[in-house]
Amino acid sequence: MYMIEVNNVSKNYGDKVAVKDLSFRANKGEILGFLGPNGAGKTTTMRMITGFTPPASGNITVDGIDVVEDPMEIARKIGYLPEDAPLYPEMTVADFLDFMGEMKEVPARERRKEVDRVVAQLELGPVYRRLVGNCSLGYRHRIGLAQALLGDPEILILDEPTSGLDPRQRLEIRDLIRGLAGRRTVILSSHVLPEVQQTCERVVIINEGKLVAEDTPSGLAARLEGQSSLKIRTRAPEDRATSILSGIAGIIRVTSDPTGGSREAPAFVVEMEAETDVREDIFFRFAGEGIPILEMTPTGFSLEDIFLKLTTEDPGRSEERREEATES
Amino acid sequence: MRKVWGITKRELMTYIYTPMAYALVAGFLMITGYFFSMSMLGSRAASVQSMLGNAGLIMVFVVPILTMRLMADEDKGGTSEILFTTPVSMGQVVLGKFLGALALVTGLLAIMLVFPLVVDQFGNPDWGIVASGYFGFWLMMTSFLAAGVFTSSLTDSQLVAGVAGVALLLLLWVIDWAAGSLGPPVGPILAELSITNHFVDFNRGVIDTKNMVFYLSLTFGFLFLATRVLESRRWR
Repeated sequence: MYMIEVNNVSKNYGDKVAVKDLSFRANKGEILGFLGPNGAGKTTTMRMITGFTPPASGNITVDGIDVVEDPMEIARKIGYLPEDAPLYPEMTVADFLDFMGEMKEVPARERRKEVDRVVAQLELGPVYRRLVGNCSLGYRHRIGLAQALLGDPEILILDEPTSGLDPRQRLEIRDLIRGLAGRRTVILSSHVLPEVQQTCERVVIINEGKLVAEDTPSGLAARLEGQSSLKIRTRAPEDRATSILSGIAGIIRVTSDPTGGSREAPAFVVEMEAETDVREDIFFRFAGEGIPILEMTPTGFSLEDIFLKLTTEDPGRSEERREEATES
Repeated sequence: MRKVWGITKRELMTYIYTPMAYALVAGFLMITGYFFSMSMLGSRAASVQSMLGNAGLIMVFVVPILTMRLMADEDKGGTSEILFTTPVSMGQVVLGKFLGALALVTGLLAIMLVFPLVVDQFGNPDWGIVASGYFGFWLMMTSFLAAGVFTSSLTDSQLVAGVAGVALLLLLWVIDWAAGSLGPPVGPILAELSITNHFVDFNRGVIDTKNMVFYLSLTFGFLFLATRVLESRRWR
């Protein structure tokens, strides 16, 4: 059985569609990465899984329990770190964690031990007696994470757990989350791709509230692995060049690149089949037509490109990015 | 119940660790002290009735400032997201916060006992009337606080919550002013709704069940409304 099931969930805020007909699953004990650009609906989805906001349609079950029907039982199972780690600034770290432990039904006798455990795990010792509001952003984030870990919940929902942290802290949090794998089911959101790639076993990519892809990081990469593309600029009208390029075996797709060329010498991005090199074919074909090739640059796909490809509707942007990558 | 106590403790600690409550308590005691001195010098009567009556009006402004942050701040600071995703019910949150504010106001009333003690030094106050007056005042405060918790649950802006709280309490304070001119059947109903009319008997030394029921139903009513408002967010 799946630990978390999201079935055809939609949610609007007024006229704005936040999530539209979204479905995905999380297996027990896996770390699921939830990826998407800012405003894609990640936070809304996580709030719905925790029961904080109800879905407008569709349903979500956590360990077989519907989140709308029994929010209390859901709350017992889930540790939640909301975006930007909201905390009570006027409390000391010690009081805050004790209070949260109390709310999470950690028995009074064990609470001190439980607080000590998460304090040690997130190295909050130095700020233990300090007011939360006086802690640095990095500490505040870790306090938020410590709060989520209190009571040892089966499921962790972490909304951008590493945003606002410095690289060393990022690494530590990443290690910590990876250490939780197997025992707990973790859903973490991010808009930073490498982070998800390194931490998660599976990735769900959403954009504008809709599911774009659901796969393992390597599976996502494999989709486009070996496949490569070329940037080409020739001295021929656009439709002429397109028809010549389309006629070459091994070329999957030809898209025009309005930023890289001019009217007399338009630029194109040509995607090729895996492990084929059509550069010589292109050269001889254009040479045969008497059209000079002004530029031909091979470009590769990174996961960054996959992400941009999947999440940007405007094709110009991903091409721009690719161009930047080639130039640098 | 343990969770309610946890929330109460937290709210009380927040009042103690932030300056707002001190400013309010100091200001309130200064004004009631002035009322007390004036009535002492003017009437030479060994009673605190006039002071308590006036203090009620000041509380119309003090209580909403105390309660305005209770719910509104959870939304503003985003902490509602961590609090409402723990296994705690909206009713427990509302009750816990209400009791936290009530504890503070009860402490304030304890300080106000200094006035009858001063009277006791120079005369013979009727301690029965004092006790009944303070008890009635405390009951009136529970309904004030519940109304403040309710307006705070309506918005994520402390300012709006405070202004709405003052407006609501003022309306309940003056609602019977129209009673005389309207006549029956509306007039008597308005008179019964007045939040001050029911205090007058207490301040005279009469503990009437009718008045107790009035304040307690107002308190439960507003706390119930606040809970429903919070629960409604599960459907928004």
